[in-house]
Amino acid sequence: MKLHFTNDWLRSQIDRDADIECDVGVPVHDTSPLERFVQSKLNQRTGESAPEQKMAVLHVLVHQLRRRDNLTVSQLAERIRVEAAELETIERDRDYVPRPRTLHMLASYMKVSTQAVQSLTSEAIARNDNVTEAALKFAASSKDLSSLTSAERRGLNNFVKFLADYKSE
Amino acid sequence: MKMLLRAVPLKNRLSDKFEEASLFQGIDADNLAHIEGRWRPMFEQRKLHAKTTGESLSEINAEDAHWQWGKKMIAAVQDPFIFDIFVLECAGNTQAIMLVRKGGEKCFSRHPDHLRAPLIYVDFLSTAPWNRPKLVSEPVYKGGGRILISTAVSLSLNEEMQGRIGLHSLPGAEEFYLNQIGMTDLGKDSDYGGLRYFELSAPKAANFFILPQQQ
Repeated sequence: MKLHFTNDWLRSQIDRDADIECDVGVPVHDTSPLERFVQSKLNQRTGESAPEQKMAVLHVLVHQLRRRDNLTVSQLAERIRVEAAELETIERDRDYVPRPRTLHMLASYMKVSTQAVQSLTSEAIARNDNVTEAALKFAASSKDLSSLTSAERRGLNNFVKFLADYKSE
Repeated sequence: MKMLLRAVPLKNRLSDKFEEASLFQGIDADNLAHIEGRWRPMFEQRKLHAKTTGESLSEINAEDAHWQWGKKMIAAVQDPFIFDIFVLECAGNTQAIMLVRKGGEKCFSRHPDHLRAPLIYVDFLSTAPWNRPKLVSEPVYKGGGRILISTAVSLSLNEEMQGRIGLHSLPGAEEFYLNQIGMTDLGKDSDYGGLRYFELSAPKAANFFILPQQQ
Protein backbone atom coordinates (compact mmCIF):
# COMPACT_ATOMS: atom_id res chain seq x y z
CA MET A 1 0.00 0.00 0.00
CA LYS A 2 1.34 3.39 -0.99
CA LEU A 3 1.64 5.98 1.80
CA HIS A 4 1.35 9.54 0.48
CA PHE A 5 3.37 11.23 3.21
CA THR A 6 7.01 11.56 4.13
CA ASN A 7 8.46 11.14 7.59
CA ASP A 8 9.63 14.78 7.47
CA TRP A 9 6.04 15.85 6.93
CA LEU A 10 4.91 13.63 9.81
CA ARG A 11 7.51 15.06 12.18
CA SER A 12 6.53 18.63 11.37
CA GLN A 13 2.81 17.87 11.79
CA ILE A 14 3.23 15.96 15.04
CA ASP A 15 5.28 18.82 16.46
CA ARG A 16 2.65 21.34 15.40
CA ASP A 17 -0.36 19.34 16.59
CA ALA A 18 -1.88 20.31 19.91
CA ASP A 19 -1.33 17.77 22.66
CA ILE A 20 -4.89 16.49 22.73
CA GLU A 21 -6.75 13.22 22.32
CA CYS A 22 -7.54 11.85 18.89
CA ASP A 23 -9.73 8.82 19.53
CA VAL A 24 -12.48 8.05 17.08
CA GLY A 25 -15.62 5.98 17.11
CA VAL A 26 -15.76 3.28 19.69
CA PRO A 27 -13.02 3.20 22.31
CA VAL A 28 -11.40 -0.24 22.20
CA HIS A 29 -11.94 -1.86 25.60
CA ASP A 30 -11.55 -5.50 24.61
CA THR A 31 -10.59 -7.56 21.60
CA SER A 32 -13.79 -9.49 20.92
CA PRO A 33 -14.71 -7.64 17.72
CA LEU A 34 -11.10 -7.67 16.54
CA GLU A 35 -10.63 -11.42 16.71
CA ARG A 36 -12.60 -11.90 13.53
CA PHE A 37 -10.03 -9.86 11.62
CA VAL A 38 -7.19 -12.05 12.76
CA GLN A 39 -9.31 -15.07 11.91
CA SER A 40 -10.48 -13.71 8.58
CA LYS A 41 -6.93 -13.00 7.58
CA LEU A 42 -5.99 -16.51 8.58
CA ASN A 43 -8.83 -17.87 6.49
CA GLN A 44 -7.77 -15.68 3.61
CA ARG A 45 -4.22 -16.93 3.92
CA THR A 46 -5.36 -20.53 4.08
CA GLY A 47 -7.37 -20.03 0.93
CA GLU A 48 -4.60 -18.25 -0.92
CA SER A 49 -1.81 -20.60 -0.06
CA ALA A 50 -3.54 -23.93 -0.02
CA PRO A 51 -1.05 -25.31 -2.57
CA GLU A 52 1.77 -24.35 -0.23
CA GLN A 53 -0.04 -25.99 2.70
CA LYS A 54 -0.40 -29.18 0.75
CA MET A 55 3.20 -29.12 -0.39
CA ALA A 56 4.18 -28.48 3.19
CA VAL A 57 2.31 -31.68 4.03
CA LEU A 58 4.18 -33.60 1.35
CA HIS A 59 7.42 -32.16 2.66
CA VAL A 60 6.55 -33.28 6.20
CA LEU A 61 5.26 -36.60 4.97
CA VAL A 62 8.45 -37.52 3.09
CA HIS A 63 10.63 -36.35 5.94
CA GLN A 64 8.68 -38.32 8.52
CA LEU A 65 8.65 -41.43 6.39
CA ARG A 66 12.43 -41.31 6.38
CA ARG A 67 12.52 -40.78 10.13
CA ARG A 68 10.10 -43.61 10.74
CA ASP A 69 12.13 -45.99 8.59
CA ASN A 70 15.54 -44.67 9.67
CA LEU A 71 16.59 -43.78 6.14
CA THR A 72 18.80 -41.03 4.86
CA VAL A 73 17.73 -39.10 1.78
CA SER A 74 20.20 -41.14 -0.29
CA GLN A 75 18.96 -44.42 1.13
CA LEU A 76 15.30 -43.60 0.44
CA ALA A 77 16.21 -42.35 -3.04
CA GLU A 78 18.05 -45.56 -3.74
CA ARG A 79 15.21 -47.67 -2.43
CA ILE A 80 12.52 -45.99 -4.54
CA ARG A 81 14.90 -45.41 -7.46
CA VAL A 82 14.61 -41.64 -7.76
CA GLU A 83 17.26 -38.97 -7.65
CA ALA A 84 18.37 -37.98 -4.16
CA ALA A 85 18.51 -34.37 -5.30
CA GLU A 86 14.81 -34.43 -6.08
CA LEU A 87 13.92 -35.87 -2.68
CA GLU A 88 16.02 -33.17 -1.07
CA THR A 89 14.16 -30.57 -3.10
CA ILE A 90 10.78 -31.97 -2.05
CA GLU A 91 11.77 -31.69 1.60
CA ARG A 92 13.34 -28.26 1.22
CA ASP A 93 11.10 -26.46 -1.30
CA ARG A 94 7.41 -26.55 -0.44
CA ASP A 95 6.49 -25.15 -3.85
CA TYR A 96 8.29 -27.85 -5.77
CA VAL A 97 6.02 -30.13 -7.77
CA PRO A 98 7.61 -33.60 -8.01
CA ARG A 99 7.83 -35.39 -11.30
CA PRO A 100 5.06 -37.94 -12.00
CA ARG A 101 7.48 -40.84 -11.73
CA THR A 102 8.69 -39.63 -8.36
CA LEU A 103 5.11 -39.35 -7.14
CA HIS A 104 4.46 -42.85 -8.39
CA MET A 105 7.52 -44.27 -6.66
CA LEU A 106 6.70 -42.50 -3.40
CA ALA A 107 3.17 -43.86 -3.62
CA SER A 108 4.45 -47.38 -4.24
CA TYR A 109 6.72 -47.10 -1.23
CA MET A 110 3.82 -46.07 0.97
CA LYS A 111 1.53 -48.66 -0.64
CA VAL A 112 -1.01 -46.00 -1.56
CA SER A 113 -2.28 -44.83 -4.94
CA THR A 114 -0.33 -42.32 -7.00
CA GLN A 115 -3.44 -40.14 -7.11
CA ALA A 116 -3.43 -40.01 -3.31
CA VAL A 117 0.09 -38.59 -3.26
CA GLN A 118 -0.65 -36.40 -6.24
CA SER A 119 -3.63 -34.99 -4.34
CA LEU A 120 -1.14 -33.36 -1.99
CA THR A 121 0.43 -31.30 -4.76
CA SER A 122 -0.57 -27.82 -5.84
CA GLU A 123 -2.06 -29.20 -9.04
CA ALA A 124 -4.73 -30.96 -7.01
CA ILE A 125 -5.70 -27.90 -5.00
CA ALA A 126 -9.24 -27.84 -3.66
CA ARG A 127 -10.21 -31.02 -5.48
CA ASN A 128 -10.87 -32.93 -2.33
CA ASP A 129 -11.76 -31.20 0.93
CA ASN A 130 -11.35 -34.40 2.89
CA VAL A 131 -7.73 -34.64 1.86
CA THR A 132 -7.19 -30.97 2.69
CA GLU A 133 -8.66 -31.36 6.15
CA ALA A 134 -6.79 -34.59 6.89
CA ALA A 135 -3.55 -33.17 5.49
CA LEU A 136 -3.76 -30.00 7.56
CA LYS A 137 -4.57 -32.05 10.66
CA PHE A 138 -1.57 -34.23 9.97
CA ALA A 139 0.72 -31.24 9.40
CA ALA A 140 -0.54 -29.55 12.55
CA SER A 141 0.29 -32.63 14.61
CA SER A 142 3.86 -32.69 13.32
CA LYS A 143 5.69 -30.25 15.52
CA ASP A 144 9.20 -31.61 15.70
CA LEU A 145 10.79 -32.98 12.59
CA SER A 146 14.01 -34.00 14.27
CA SER A 147 12.46 -36.91 16.10
CA LEU A 148 9.37 -38.98 15.57
CA THR A 149 7.40 -39.16 18.76
CA SER A 150 4.86 -41.90 19.29
CA ALA A 151 2.07 -39.39 18.67
CA GLU A 152 3.70 -38.31 15.40
CA ARG A 153 4.22 -41.91 14.38
CA ARG A 154 0.55 -42.55 15.07
CA GLY A 155 -0.40 -39.42 13.09
CA LEU A 156 1.82 -40.44 10.19
CA ASN A 157 0.42 -43.96 10.09
CA ASN A 158 -3.14 -42.67 10.27
CA PHE A 159 -2.47 -40.26 7.44
CA VAL A 160 -0.87 -42.94 5.27
CA LYS A 161 -3.88 -45.13 6.00
CA PHE A 162 -6.11 -42.23 4.97
CA LEU A 163 -4.16 -41.91 1.72
CA ALA A 164 -4.47 -45.64 1.15
CA ASP A 165 -8.25 -45.24 1.29
CA TYR A 166 -8.13 -42.21 -0.98
CA LYS A 167 -10.36 -42.36 -4.01
CA SER A 168 -10.12 -39.64 -6.63
CA GLU A 169 -13.32 -37.94 -7.69
CA MET B 1 -1.99 -11.14 6.93
CA LYS B 2 -0.06 -8.54 8.87
CA MET B 3 2.32 -6.56 6.69
CA LEU B 4 4.82 -3.87 7.58
CA LEU B 5 4.07 -0.71 5.62
CA ARG B 6 6.89 1.50 6.83
CA ALA B 7 8.89 2.80 9.76
CA VAL B 8 7.40 6.11 10.94
CA PRO B 9 8.37 8.67 13.59
CA LEU B 10 6.44 8.76 16.86
CA LYS B 11 7.14 11.47 19.44
CA ASN B 12 8.02 10.41 22.95
CA ARG B 13 6.62 13.17 25.11
CA LEU B 14 8.79 12.21 28.06
CA SER B 15 12.12 12.41 26.24
CA ASP B 16 10.83 14.98 23.71
CA LYS B 17 12.44 12.91 20.95
CA PHE B 18 11.09 11.02 18.00
CA GLU B 19 11.34 7.24 18.09
CA GLU B 20 11.01 4.80 15.24
CA ALA B 21 7.63 3.09 15.15
CA SER B 22 6.35 0.43 12.77
CA LEU B 23 3.15 0.93 10.84
CA PHE B 24 1.41 -2.32 9.88
CA GLN B 25 -1.55 -3.22 7.74
CA GLY B 26 -3.36 -6.10 9.47
CA ILE B 27 -3.22 -7.35 13.03
CA ASP B 28 -2.00 -10.49 14.69
CA ALA B 29 -2.45 -12.31 17.98
CA ASP B 30 0.31 -10.24 19.61
CA ASN B 31 -1.70 -7.06 19.11
CA LEU B 32 -4.77 -8.69 20.59
CA ALA B 33 -2.68 -9.87 23.54
CA HIS B 34 -1.40 -6.33 24.09
CA ILE B 35 -4.92 -4.91 24.10
CA GLU B 36 -6.25 -7.58 26.45
CA GLY B 37 -3.23 -7.74 28.71
CA ARG B 38 -1.95 -4.16 28.72
CA TRP B 39 -4.65 -1.78 27.47
CA ARG B 40 -7.64 -3.29 29.17
CA PRO B 41 -6.29 -3.39 32.76
CA MET B 42 -5.32 0.29 32.48
CA PHE B 43 -8.77 1.21 31.25
CA GLU B 44 -10.38 -0.76 34.07
CA GLN B 45 -8.09 0.76 36.67
CA ARG B 46 -8.68 4.27 35.36
CA LYS B 47 -12.42 3.79 35.32
CA LEU B 48 -12.36 2.66 38.93
CA HIS B 49 -10.25 5.68 39.81
CA ALA B 50 -12.69 7.97 37.98
CA LYS B 51 -15.51 6.64 40.13
CA THR B 52 -13.65 7.56 43.30
CA THR B 53 -12.84 11.06 42.06
CA GLY B 54 -16.29 11.71 40.68
CA GLU B 55 -15.15 12.06 37.05
CA SER B 56 -17.61 10.89 34.44
CA LEU B 57 -16.50 8.23 31.99
CA SER B 58 -17.20 10.59 29.11
CA GLU B 59 -14.74 13.04 30.63
CA ILE B 60 -11.99 10.49 30.21
CA ASN B 61 -13.30 9.14 26.87
CA ALA B 62 -13.86 5.68 28.30
CA GLU B 63 -17.56 5.12 28.06
CA ASP B 64 -18.48 1.48 27.96
CA ALA B 65 -21.79 2.24 26.32
CA HIS B 66 -20.07 3.38 23.12
CA TRP B 67 -17.94 0.27 23.04
CA GLN B 68 -20.77 -2.20 23.63
CA TRP B 69 -22.77 -0.53 20.93
CA GLY B 70 -19.80 -0.21 18.56
CA LYS B 71 -18.95 -3.89 18.96
CA LYS B 72 -22.40 -4.82 17.75
CA MET B 73 -22.07 -2.48 14.77
CA ILE B 74 -18.79 -4.09 13.71
CA ALA B 75 -20.06 -7.61 14.35
CA ALA B 76 -23.12 -6.89 12.21
CA VAL B 77 -21.01 -6.53 9.08
CA GLN B 78 -21.00 -9.89 7.36
CA ASP B 79 -18.15 -9.31 4.95
CA PRO B 80 -14.87 -8.78 6.84
CA PHE B 81 -13.07 -7.85 3.63
CA ILE B 82 -14.69 -4.44 3.41
CA PHE B 83 -12.54 -3.60 6.43
CA ASP B 84 -8.90 -2.73 6.64
CA ILE B 85 -7.07 -2.56 9.93
CA PHE B 86 -3.82 -0.79 10.78
CA VAL B 87 -1.67 -0.91 13.88
CA LEU B 88 1.18 1.19 15.12
CA GLU B 89 3.86 -0.51 17.19
CA CYS B 90 6.71 1.06 19.10
CA ALA B 91 8.92 -0.13 21.96
CA GLY B 92 7.47 -3.63 21.72
CA ASN B 93 3.93 -2.46 22.31
CA THR B 94 0.79 -1.74 20.33
CA GLN B 95 0.49 2.04 20.53
CA ALA B 96 -2.56 2.67 18.38
CA ILE B 97 -5.01 0.82 16.17
CA MET B 98 -7.42 1.91 13.44
CA LEU B 99 -10.24 0.07 11.71
CA VAL B 100 -11.57 1.52 8.45
CA ARG B 101 -14.16 0.36 5.98
CA LYS B 102 -13.92 0.78 2.24
CA GLY B 103 -17.50 0.10 1.27
CA GLY B 104 -21.06 -0.02 2.51
CA GLU B 105 -23.59 2.52 3.60
CA LYS B 106 -21.19 4.46 5.84
CA CYS B 107 -18.84 5.13 2.96
CA PHE B 108 -20.81 7.88 1.25
CA SER B 109 -20.01 11.54 1.78
CA ARG B 110 -22.36 13.86 3.64
CA HIS B 111 -20.25 16.87 2.72
CA PRO B 112 -22.12 19.52 0.65
CA ASP B 113 -19.12 19.77 -1.72
CA HIS B 114 -19.56 16.16 -2.86
CA LEU B 115 -22.68 14.58 -1.49
CA ARG B 116 -22.80 10.77 -1.83
CA ALA B 117 -19.23 10.61 -3.14
CA PRO B 118 -17.42 7.50 -1.86
CA LEU B 119 -15.08 7.80 1.09
CA ILE B 120 -13.11 5.77 3.59
CA TYR B 121 -14.97 5.58 6.89
CA VAL B 122 -12.94 5.26 10.08
CA ASP B 123 -14.86 2.92 12.38
CA PHE B 124 -12.46 3.52 15.20
CA LEU B 125 -9.06 4.92 15.93
CA SER B 126 -7.92 4.05 19.40
CA THR B 127 -4.66 4.89 21.11
CA ALA B 128 -3.13 2.95 23.98
CA PRO B 129 -4.32 4.24 27.36
CA TRP B 130 -0.79 5.36 28.34
CA ASN B 131 -0.77 7.74 25.34
CA ARG B 132 -4.01 9.51 26.21
CA PRO B 133 -3.80 12.91 27.89
CA LYS B 134 -7.27 12.58 29.44
CA LEU B 135 -6.56 9.17 30.86
CA VAL B 136 -3.08 9.46 32.38
CA SER B 137 -1.18 12.35 33.90
CA GLU B 138 2.00 11.69 31.92
CA PRO B 139 1.04 10.37 28.48
CA VAL B 140 3.93 8.78 26.59
CA TYR B 141 3.64 8.86 22.79
CA LYS B 142 2.21 11.63 20.65
CA GLY B 143 1.43 11.32 16.95
CA GLY B 144 -0.40 8.00 16.73
CA GLY B 145 -3.59 9.71 15.59
CA ARG B 146 -1.79 11.83 12.99
CA ILE B 147 -0.02 8.78 11.56
CA LEU B 148 -3.13 6.63 11.34
CA ILE B 149 -5.37 9.36 9.93
CA SER B 150 -2.69 10.08 7.31
CA THR B 151 -2.77 6.37 6.50
CA ALA B 152 -6.55 6.53 6.05
CA VAL B 153 -6.17 9.52 3.70
CA SER B 154 -3.51 7.59 1.77
CA LEU B 155 -5.82 4.62 1.48
CA SER B 156 -8.58 6.91 0.20
CA LEU B 157 -6.22 8.31 -2.45
CA ASN B 158 -5.16 4.79 -3.42
CA GLU B 159 -8.80 3.75 -3.73
CA GLU B 160 -9.45 6.77 -6.00
CA MET B 161 -11.66 8.45 -3.40
CA GLN B 162 -9.61 11.67 -3.63
CA GLY B 163 -8.53 11.50 0.00
CA ARG B 164 -12.06 11.77 1.41
CA ILE B 165 -12.49 10.22 4.85
CA GLY B 166 -15.30 10.34 7.42
CA LEU B 167 -15.41 9.57 11.13
CA HIS B 168 -17.32 10.03 14.37
CA SER B 169 -15.04 11.72 16.86
CA LEU B 170 -15.18 11.03 20.56
CA PRO B 171 -16.01 14.24 22.47
CA GLY B 172 -12.46 14.83 23.70
CA ALA B 173 -10.98 14.57 20.20
CA GLU B 174 -13.23 16.94 18.27
CA GLU B 175 -10.71 19.77 18.41
CA PHE B 176 -8.07 17.51 16.89
CA TYR B 177 -10.15 16.69 13.84
CA LEU B 178 -11.55 20.18 13.40
CA ASN B 179 -8.44 22.30 13.95
CA GLN B 180 -5.45 20.00 13.54
CA ILE B 181 -6.62 17.75 10.72
CA GLY B 182 -8.86 20.37 9.08
CA MET B 183 -12.00 18.28 8.76
CA THR B 184 -15.50 19.70 8.39
CA ASP B 185 -17.85 19.31 11.37
CA LEU B 186 -21.13 18.02 9.97
CA GLY B 187 -22.88 18.03 13.32
CA LYS B 188 -24.17 15.63 15.93
CA ASP B 189 -25.27 12.27 14.66
CA SER B 190 -28.27 10.96 16.55
CA ASP B 191 -27.79 7.61 14.84
CA TYR B 192 -24.36 7.30 16.37
CA GLY B 193 -24.84 7.96 20.06
CA GLY B 194 -24.80 11.71 19.58
CA LEU B 195 -21.15 11.76 18.48
CA ARG B 196 -20.21 14.49 16.01
CA TYR B 197 -19.49 13.47 12.45
CA PHE B 198 -16.48 14.90 10.62
CA GLU B 199 -15.28 14.64 7.04
CA LEU B 200 -12.09 15.53 5.24
CA SER B 201 -13.27 16.93 1.93
CA ALA B 202 -11.53 16.27 -1.37
CA PRO B 203 -10.23 19.88 -1.71
CA LYS B 204 -8.78 19.72 1.82
CA ALA B 205 -7.29 16.31 1.14
CA ALA B 206 -5.60 17.63 -2.00
CA ASN B 207 -3.39 19.84 0.18
CA PHE B 208 -3.23 17.52 3.15
CA PHE B 209 0.30 16.22 2.63
CA ILE B 210 1.94 19.50 1.72
CA LEU B 211 4.50 20.82 4.20
CA PRO B 212 3.32 24.05 5.91
CA GLN B 213 6.14 26.13 4.38
CA GLN B 214 5.11 24.97 0.90
CA GLN B 215 1.48 25.98 1.31
